[in-house]
Amino acid sequence: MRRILQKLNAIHRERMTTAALANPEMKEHYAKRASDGNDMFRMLNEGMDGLSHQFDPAPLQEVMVSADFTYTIQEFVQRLALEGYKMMEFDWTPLVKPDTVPNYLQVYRYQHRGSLDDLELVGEKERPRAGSKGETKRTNQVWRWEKEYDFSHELLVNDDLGYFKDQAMLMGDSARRTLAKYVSRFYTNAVSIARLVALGALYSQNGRLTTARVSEARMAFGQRVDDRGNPMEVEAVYLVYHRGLHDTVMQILQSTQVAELATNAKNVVNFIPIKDPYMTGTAPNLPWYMFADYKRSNVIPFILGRRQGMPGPMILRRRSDIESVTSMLGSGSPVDPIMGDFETGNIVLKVSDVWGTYVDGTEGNLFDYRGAYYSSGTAP
Amino acid sequence: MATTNKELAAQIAQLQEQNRVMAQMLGLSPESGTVNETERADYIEHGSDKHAVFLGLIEVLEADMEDAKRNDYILYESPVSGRTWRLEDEISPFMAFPNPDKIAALYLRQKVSSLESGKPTIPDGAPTLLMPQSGF
Repeated sequence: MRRILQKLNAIHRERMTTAALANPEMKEHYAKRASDGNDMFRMLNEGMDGLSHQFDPAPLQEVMVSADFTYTIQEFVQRLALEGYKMMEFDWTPLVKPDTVPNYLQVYRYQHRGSLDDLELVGEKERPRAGSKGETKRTNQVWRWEKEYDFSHELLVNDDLGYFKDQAMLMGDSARRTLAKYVSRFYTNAVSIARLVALGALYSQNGRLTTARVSEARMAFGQRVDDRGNPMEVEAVYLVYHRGLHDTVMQILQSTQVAELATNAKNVVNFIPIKDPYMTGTAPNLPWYMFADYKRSNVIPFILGRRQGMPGPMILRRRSDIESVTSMLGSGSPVDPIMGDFETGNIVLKVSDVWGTYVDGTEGNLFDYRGAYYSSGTAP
Repeated sequence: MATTNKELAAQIAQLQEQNRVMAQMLGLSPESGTVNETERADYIEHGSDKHAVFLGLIEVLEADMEDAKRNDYILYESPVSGRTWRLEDEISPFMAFPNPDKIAALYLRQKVSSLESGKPTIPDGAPTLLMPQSGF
């Protein structure tokens, strides 16, 4: 404000001086007007300072403002580390049955997937034929998954922002995210898809996600049979979908009238939606899957093995090989981990986890294909 | 006695087939993964007549067209195959809707599309199966 008034006053004075030069006979008049303007500016200036309006004939002194000290005052430095992005969650746990294995060797899991034979009519004096029993063998094996990060001693000392303070938490997050992507790949990989496609229309289709297609998938589950051709009690419970289908899924769930086969009123589409952020697809051809709940039906779509004693990711740090001493041969004491190693001052961390699953060249990762249904989402 | 690899391969295939037939006769159930998919009890080929039945679709043949129109069936002629279809049940699933005919027509169109789109394709971007032997 002061600067604006000062500028206006200067302009006024300049105009009066110019006018006086152009009209020398009115020099006194213009000088008086310039002086009045000056007084007026002083009055306003002092008014802003809370002073009384006393006219002082002394000329206005140059005012120093922050603009005069471009580098020393106007350059304000503040550094701040902001919160990172929120990432999309993938609740994959209901889809996989957890399994614990003792070591890194392959283990075997057996399951009755076929009922016993039906009885046969036996004639008089006739001996019954021998029955049989089938079984299914599946393997499981775990592997190590790791990532290493190293930091220089100087980097961590210089980190006044705390930019690396949450490094351990982020490393834990990366382990959880990797596992989520791993599980997503159980059903999005080409072999698992090819397996479901080869099993026919009760296991796969092309339709885009609509209530009619959800109905088809549910009917398909209802017609599945065991290894001996006997009807199974298995139900489509989880709808796993590309994130681009989120609104569609919500609409299906919220609609009160759904054209389900053999129903005529209420919404009976009681599936549980699971959004898979790692599933790829190009709109409008977005894939979707339906899976059984292994807890209800014992039909296990996928299995996730973990090694005994290793239930989750671990953040590990290499122990510093430095000790602090006061004499060359005296005893030493441990130093702060930020000192890093003796040779380079490096601080090394790694995140480690152990997991695995069933892998087969024909079945893909489908531990039991009877618990899965796939749609490419391409047909309108 | 086989004299060439080709003959040997043919003999092995023949033995495997005999083994499968024998197992079937004896009621032995091999592992599910080794069963030929098309012989499974719940196998329905994509786009087949069985698939149409599963979807509740009835094909309206040329000879039945007049009859279908006279009975006011909701018909849908596929732009892909040129075949005309109607729903097996036009009543029960759509009773609750204020405009059942319209919903039934949409439903019919989607079902025909499901039927005629054939075997699902594997997406181009589908990741490969992680095989530990070949490295991740």
